Amino acid sequence: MVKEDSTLEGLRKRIGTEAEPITFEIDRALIGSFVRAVGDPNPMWQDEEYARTTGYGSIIAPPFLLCALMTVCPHDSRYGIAPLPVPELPPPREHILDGGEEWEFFRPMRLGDTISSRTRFADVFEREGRVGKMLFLVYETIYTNQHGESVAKASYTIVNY
Amino acid sequence: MSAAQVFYEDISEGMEIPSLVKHPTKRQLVMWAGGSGDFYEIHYDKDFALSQGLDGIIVHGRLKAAFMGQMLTDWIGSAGTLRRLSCRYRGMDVPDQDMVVRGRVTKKYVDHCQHCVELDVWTENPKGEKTTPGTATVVLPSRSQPSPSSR
Repeated sequence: MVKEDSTLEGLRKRIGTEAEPITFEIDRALIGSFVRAVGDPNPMWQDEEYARTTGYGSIIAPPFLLCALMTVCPHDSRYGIAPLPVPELPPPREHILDGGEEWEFFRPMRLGDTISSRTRFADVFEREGRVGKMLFLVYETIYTNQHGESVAKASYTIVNY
Repeated sequence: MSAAQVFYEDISEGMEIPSLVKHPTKRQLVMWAGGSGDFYEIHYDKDFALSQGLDGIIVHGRLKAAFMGQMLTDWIGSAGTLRRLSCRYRGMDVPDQDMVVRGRVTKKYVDHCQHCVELDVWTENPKGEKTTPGTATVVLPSRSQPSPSSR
């Protein structure tokens, strides 16, 4: 029990730790491979002529493109594009449960935009669950465009026990 | 996306939005792995999946989240805006069978001149089980204010 508390304390000290930022450009190739993988023929994402008739005036990326540009993969840091903010401190306990994922979209991502993402270890806390004490680890990613505007925020919670 | 633009006034709490039927194939999972960088073997290597105690390969949770994004952006059209999407990867889905993506309006309200609609969204397997329950918020155009001030 003491060991677990110290683990929690150790993790708490790392709240706010950021991973190396990653940067990607919203280009036709990125959008194309994404919408082909999803199977989404919406012309807003690919048809310039159609996009000109919309309020956006040009092609935008599907906001849920960010579902693919993973924030973190807590199961194993070898998976996923984005690095874990605290790779040396993986979830310390044996079992991992999904605690939910959320994306908030503030601005459209336009063709030609350069998006930077920063993932930080946002929070850790412990709750009593039906299988005993459970750790909740929260990772948060902020996406910013080349103008310094926030375009989206993602957060992912994992439950570790 | 080919349907007519939906407006805030067309929405009532409790109504279901048009569902989207997907049929994720193993090939699609490989495409998603390549596009997302999620090369966790449980999504394409059956031997590995079996060694992990699974019955076979399973669909990426975030691909299911993207399916929900597709359903929502199909529905809201080019004048609507997807503001928020959240989900939990509660149940595993296997490839090569239908997955129905659904949504139901839970609340509509005007906030700072934005016409907001909140929904429950989920994916459903052939047994009718909700494997990926979630919620979403969208902003719709209003007939009284057709150009949303949201952008």
